Amino acid sequence: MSGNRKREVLILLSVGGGLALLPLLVGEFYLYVIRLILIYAISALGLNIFMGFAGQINIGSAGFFCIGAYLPTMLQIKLGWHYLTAFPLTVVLSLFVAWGMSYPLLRLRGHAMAIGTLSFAMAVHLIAERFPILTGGADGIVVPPMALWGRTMGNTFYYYLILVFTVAAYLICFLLVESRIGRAFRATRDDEAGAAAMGVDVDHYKRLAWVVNGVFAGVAGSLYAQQAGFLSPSTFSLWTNIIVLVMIVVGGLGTNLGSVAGAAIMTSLPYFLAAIQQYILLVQGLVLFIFLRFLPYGVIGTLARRYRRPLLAKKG
Amino acid sequence: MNRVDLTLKEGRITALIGPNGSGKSTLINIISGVYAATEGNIFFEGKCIDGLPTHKIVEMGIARTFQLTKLFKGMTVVENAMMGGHSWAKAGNFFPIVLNRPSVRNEEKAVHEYAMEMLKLAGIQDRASDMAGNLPHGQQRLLELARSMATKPKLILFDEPAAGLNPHEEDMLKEALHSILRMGVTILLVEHHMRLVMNVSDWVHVIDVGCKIAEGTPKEVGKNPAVVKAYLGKEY
Repeated sequence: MSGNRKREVLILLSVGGGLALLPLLVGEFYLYVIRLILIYAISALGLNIFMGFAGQINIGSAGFFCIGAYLPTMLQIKLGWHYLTAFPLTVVLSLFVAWGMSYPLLRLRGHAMAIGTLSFAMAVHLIAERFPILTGGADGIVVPPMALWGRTMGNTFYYYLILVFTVAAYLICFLLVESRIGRAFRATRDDEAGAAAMGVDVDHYKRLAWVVNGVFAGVAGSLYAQQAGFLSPSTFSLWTNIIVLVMIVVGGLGTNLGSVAGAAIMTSLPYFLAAIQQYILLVQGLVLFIFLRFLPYGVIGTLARRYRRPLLAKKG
Repeated sequence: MNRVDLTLKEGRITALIGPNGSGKSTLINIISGVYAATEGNIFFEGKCIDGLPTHKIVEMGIARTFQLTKLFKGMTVVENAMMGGHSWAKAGNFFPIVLNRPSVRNEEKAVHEYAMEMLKLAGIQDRASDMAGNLPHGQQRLLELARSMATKPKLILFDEPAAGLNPHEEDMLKEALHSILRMGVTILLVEHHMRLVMNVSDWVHVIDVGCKIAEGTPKEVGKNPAVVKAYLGKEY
């Protein structure tokens, strides 16, 4: 077990190291797309914990994304905080919001729970739109650039900042899914009554997965705001909720690598198809349909099944 | 269920039999905290356990299996058995895990070892890295046994463990039951399979339509006219 794990961590760290060299190799535009991919990868990894591993449905990640984006931005604008001081507070706030939300939410099951998560995201979206004091309103606001040691930080710095968080998020998920907690998540997904009979407090683990989902989405949102430089409530529409879900389905539910692959595919798709931009929603819908119909395990899940048989069936 | 009193002797196999719909599984569900009893109490080691949630009851040392297996089909066989460690190996909390603490790694090793031991006890250790959903039906039942034994229980409630087993698997079940007894675990066996019950149990309770109608050694119960009438049929 440990030999395999060590090798995977090494692979991950060297991929991270390779990505760190990218700013030297690619131009500004590609770097922008890769930043977006990495940000969405964080969000997708979190959603995958809740959906792919704990087996619950969440179509409201954008709610946390929105909170995570606006909180540090408004702290910077209104109170003159530094982004790096506002950031930990963002993590704490998303954690508390997720924790609080989990109590009403866990009273619901299945599709009702999914609608519950959606209404949460809609509520956050409405608050962002209707309370200009909190968010700058529907017109949007400019996010002040970050300064360190008297110098304004540019896109390359943001890229590294995002990369560090993406690698950290991946490591957390990697360690989590094959641990006591990860097994409890998967047991809850496969059979709640069976999990309870093994001593698993099912509600506790659903809550934990939801909080991980919320915090990861919050972190992703906060990184997004800083690197984009501009925020408006329309950034966090219904589509933002769905696209992350499409990512983990396309990549492969219940695989960490799949979340990253899905983020890469769905984020870069519009740029590959720039020529038919007006039909991009159609294409994305078609992609989702094709995967659900023909490749239900997603890119990574299908590959794993073909080449390594069951993905999680590693020799003990 | 109505006025059923049941005392389980430590370190023995007590069987509970009765016709379909007599409330055998209901009783297991009440003891394991799935249903709440409207009246009466359940004592375990001198402590009243009714009203406790299922996972707390497991922690106190009462494990169970299900009539229709409730395995984790998307997990491997050994991971299913490792779920048994959830109630006794508790170093695996969020921060120790994501910091990859040695305490967590050592505990994982211990849980894995114990899970393998229990798979051996059930005779399915060579299927350890298969997906649980891919096992044939009989082995799935044996995996449920291994999994509930992996919780290190003091009392284990078996809900028809022999249903659908072939003769070979039945022998393995019998052997496993004996090894479980040797480990000092008390067994409540709910079963339809008369040959198995008569063979292995020390004491038999018979219930019908939610009421207890007889109890005694397997031999006594087999001769009791009320039992023969309610359950075994005239020709038995």
